[in-house]
Amino acid sequence: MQFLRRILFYIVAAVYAVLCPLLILYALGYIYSPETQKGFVKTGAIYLSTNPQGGSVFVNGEEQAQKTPALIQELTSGDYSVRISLEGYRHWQAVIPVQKEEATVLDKILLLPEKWDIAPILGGPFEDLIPVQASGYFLLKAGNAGGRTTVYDYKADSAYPLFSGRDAAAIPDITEVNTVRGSSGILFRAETPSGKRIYRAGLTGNKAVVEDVTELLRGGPEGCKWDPDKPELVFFLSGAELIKADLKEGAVYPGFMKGVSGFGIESSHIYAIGENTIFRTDLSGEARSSILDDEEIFSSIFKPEKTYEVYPFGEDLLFFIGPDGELLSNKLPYRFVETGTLDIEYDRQEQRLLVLRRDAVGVLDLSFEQTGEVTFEKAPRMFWMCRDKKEMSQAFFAYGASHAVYRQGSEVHLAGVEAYGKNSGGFLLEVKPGSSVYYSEEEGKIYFIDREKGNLNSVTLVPEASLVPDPFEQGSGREKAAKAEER
Amino acid sequence: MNFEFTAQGLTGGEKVVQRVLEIVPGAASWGIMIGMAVLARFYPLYAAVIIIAFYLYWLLKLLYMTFFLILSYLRLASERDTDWLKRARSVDRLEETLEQLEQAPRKDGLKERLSAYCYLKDLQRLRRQGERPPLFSEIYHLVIVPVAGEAKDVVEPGINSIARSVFPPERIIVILAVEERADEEVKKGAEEIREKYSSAFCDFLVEYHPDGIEGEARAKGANTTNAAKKAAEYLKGKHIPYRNVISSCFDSDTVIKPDYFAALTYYFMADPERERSSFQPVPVYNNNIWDAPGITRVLEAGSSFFQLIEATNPETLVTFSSHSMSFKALVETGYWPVDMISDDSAIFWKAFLRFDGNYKAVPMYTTVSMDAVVADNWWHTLKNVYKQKRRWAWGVENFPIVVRGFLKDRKISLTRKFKYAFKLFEGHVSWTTWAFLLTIIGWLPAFFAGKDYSHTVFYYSAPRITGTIFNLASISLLTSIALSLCLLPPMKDKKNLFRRAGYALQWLLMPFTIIFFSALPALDAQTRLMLGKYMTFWVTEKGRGSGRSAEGREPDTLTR
Repeated sequence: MQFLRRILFYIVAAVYAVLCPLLILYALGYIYSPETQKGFVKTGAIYLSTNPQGGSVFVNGEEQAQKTPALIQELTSGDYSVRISLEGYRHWQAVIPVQKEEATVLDKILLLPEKWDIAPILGGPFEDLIPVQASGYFLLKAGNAGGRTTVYDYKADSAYPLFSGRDAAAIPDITEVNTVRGSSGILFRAETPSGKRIYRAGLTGNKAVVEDVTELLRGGPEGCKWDPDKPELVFFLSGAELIKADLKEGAVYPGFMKGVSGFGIESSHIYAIGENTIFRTDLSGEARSSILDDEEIFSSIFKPEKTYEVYPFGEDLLFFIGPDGELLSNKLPYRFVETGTLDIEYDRQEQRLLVLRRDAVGVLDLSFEQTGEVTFEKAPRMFWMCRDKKEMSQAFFAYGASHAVYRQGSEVHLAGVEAYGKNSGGFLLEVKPGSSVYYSEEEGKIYFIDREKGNLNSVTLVPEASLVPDPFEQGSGREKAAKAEER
Repeated sequence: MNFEFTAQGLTGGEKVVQRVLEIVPGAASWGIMIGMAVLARFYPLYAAVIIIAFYLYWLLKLLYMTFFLILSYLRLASERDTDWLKRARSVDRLEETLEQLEQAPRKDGLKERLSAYCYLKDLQRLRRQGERPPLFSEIYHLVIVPVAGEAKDVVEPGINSIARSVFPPERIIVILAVEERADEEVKKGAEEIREKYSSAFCDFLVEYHPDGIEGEARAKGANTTNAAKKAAEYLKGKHIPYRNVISSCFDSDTVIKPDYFAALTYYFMADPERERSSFQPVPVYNNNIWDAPGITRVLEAGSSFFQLIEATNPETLVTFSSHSMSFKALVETGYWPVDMISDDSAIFWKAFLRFDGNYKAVPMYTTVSMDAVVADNWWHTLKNVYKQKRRWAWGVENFPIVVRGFLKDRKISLTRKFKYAFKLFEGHVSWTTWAFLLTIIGWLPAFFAGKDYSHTVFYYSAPRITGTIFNLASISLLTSIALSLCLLPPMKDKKNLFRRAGYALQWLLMPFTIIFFSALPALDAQTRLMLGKYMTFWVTEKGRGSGRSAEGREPDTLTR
């Protein structure tokens, strides 16, 4: 037994000594290639995961044994033409670059059905859809008459009029709506027989609680911002003066902050552009801390006497949209887009910023790290998914920020955010001209008003089972909003 | 070499060396785990490469051990029908027996052939090397059964099993070594057992070990040493030479087979170095296995398997639990350490150093059965399992003392010293770290993966490789399930098949079990030693059916 044990030990040790380095080299992407006369060569891989799964994979026209999700290994550096086919779905095709030791990862490929299954939701005719982002609701307008504005609760699949229990004569015409992402409260201006009034509506599961706040928000709903957790505190700019209105107490605090040329609110904090400084305070204006106080940098970012929209995404990441649509940030290289920016959306998990311009949609990849000689900060990389277009009017991330849905005129399109998947997607559907669409990431559905009849319909872009909740989102917007409304 | 096998009463440099060596195993275990976690956080690719290398090492070692587990089991099975008494008697007529064996026709079955082959080899080696053993009729067995708090119903089945031995009971001396601090009920039970069985043996003694003797810890070794010293006086008085006496130290719940002492006598007689050997049977935990919860069964089967595998490597085998040795060697060694918890392995190391490495443990292919941990409810059972495993893992206390002994010894070769010290060290560190590496830390590189790592070929190929490794490792698991079923005792009820199937399925608890009832208690023990929070003896609560044996007591802390 002793002898056998010793012999076997040496055999096992020898197997390990040979197998272990080979296994690790293989895992690292090395293969033995006698035909190249180089012996071991470094290879790369392509990882493809589709929704739905089970697509056949063709690499340079050759069908692979694996169906998606598939790891295609032992690929030498170079470009590969990849096609994925699944019955009932459009082909997905892209030219994918492969580098040695690296895996080119496309883990959220959406296979689009050849024919959309359109689900009717509500009979119209509606003229417009007003998103109340990440709240669980959206509004459906059938003209400016407030009585014809419907609140749709897409989780409960129920609808109710914005104004209920009022006689027709008292229902004002809605002209302007202001929402805040994650809040189920809305502000809107309305024409009433007695003049222009400003209303606040708290959307709940079965009714909207509407109150007249004209006396508190004289400047109008435009530019008003509030924290979804504290919707009773509304902030707006009047010149260089930040005004705070407490809707619950019925109090207005003019001169809450002075010398402010832009502000934004996030996580119960105000992020404001002051005089040669960017700072952060709590909602009471206390606990002020500076985010940027370098005068030279400040003056290279901001122009004097201009007002900026401030978009805070965490304590140290701020974006600004200037009066000419310039997209700026407190991060190097500070200026990202020179003109024409209409709106932005940030995905924290993927660290991607979606940028909408009148003529383009692009993504700023903030997770991209510079691999140059010396790197002090991450170097964000901007790439445009579509350019030189017209009438670009809405864009949002879908499927975990792997895709962007954008509306160009009355056409809704899809584009893969990952650079190689630019051919994925394309035209999705056509909507009523001038009407917005609403995308619920929780459900993977796009809600829209159809062109012909003006009915509310939906299509499932991403099957619900394949959606992963955002770990950074602490409870859904709806839940947070409901709690805030309760308070 | 005269070496004080103790960690007590050290001074100066020796105290410092002891303390440093106490820190080493725990520090190594914590260092490996924290180091890997930190590496996974900041350099996930490097961590993943190390983990793949480790997984492959683990797989090969597992398959290697499984192979020897099967061999060892076959060896055990081959001796199942052996007439040990006949074999032991045959050693008296060595030449004649060898002649018969060498001329005997080849046996039919594989097991019979294997048994006959080993028998022949044993006797040929004895003829070649050894000093002739005492005659069978001159050999006595001294059985010491320590009792700390175990009730009569736990102790008596073991005594009864000794009384039913095929070895002549008139040459068996039994000593119940009872702690003086034990409850009156326990003492009364011991006396009742003596009354009942005194006529069944050569002699039956009950020795009370006084509490609080200077230099002693509340440890089993102190009790057994006291009993062994009394036995030495007794044997002297009876003019029985120590070299003719085989001493066995049994846990109080140990139940032996009728031919156990016959088998032990054979192994003792057939071993040319019988006075420099301990004899180690395979412990199984079958006494109450059907009353024990699944986790306990899996763990106890794992312990039995470990001993079976170890049995194939007598070169580094160390005594564990119930074992036997020449009484002469025991006296010359200076008995069991009186201040250590892990006396069953410590006695081996003490003898190893006393005889300058000229000491070994001989595997015996026969079983002794003990109790699996069972308490009055499931939760208490789990707590007691945890404490029992921690006590076993406290065997790490041997490491600093053995290494100190090696540093002093000039006769043991450096290679052997390194081999033994490394095995002791590696055994304890792997006991602690492997389960964590396999179940938790191994996944950290993927968990912490940033874009740098998650876009490498390695990130995607590693899960496939580990998946294959784990699939191959299931061969070992299936083998373990099959062998554990073979080792099970017969059941009395009719739902045998269903319960056996349930038992097989309980092996699926393995990942949970090894973390919480193997690695964690081992880490606990090593950390205590590292921090100088020393343990003293804790009686494991065991029971059969509804009966319970002993009160569980919290471990005390011993200060040096």
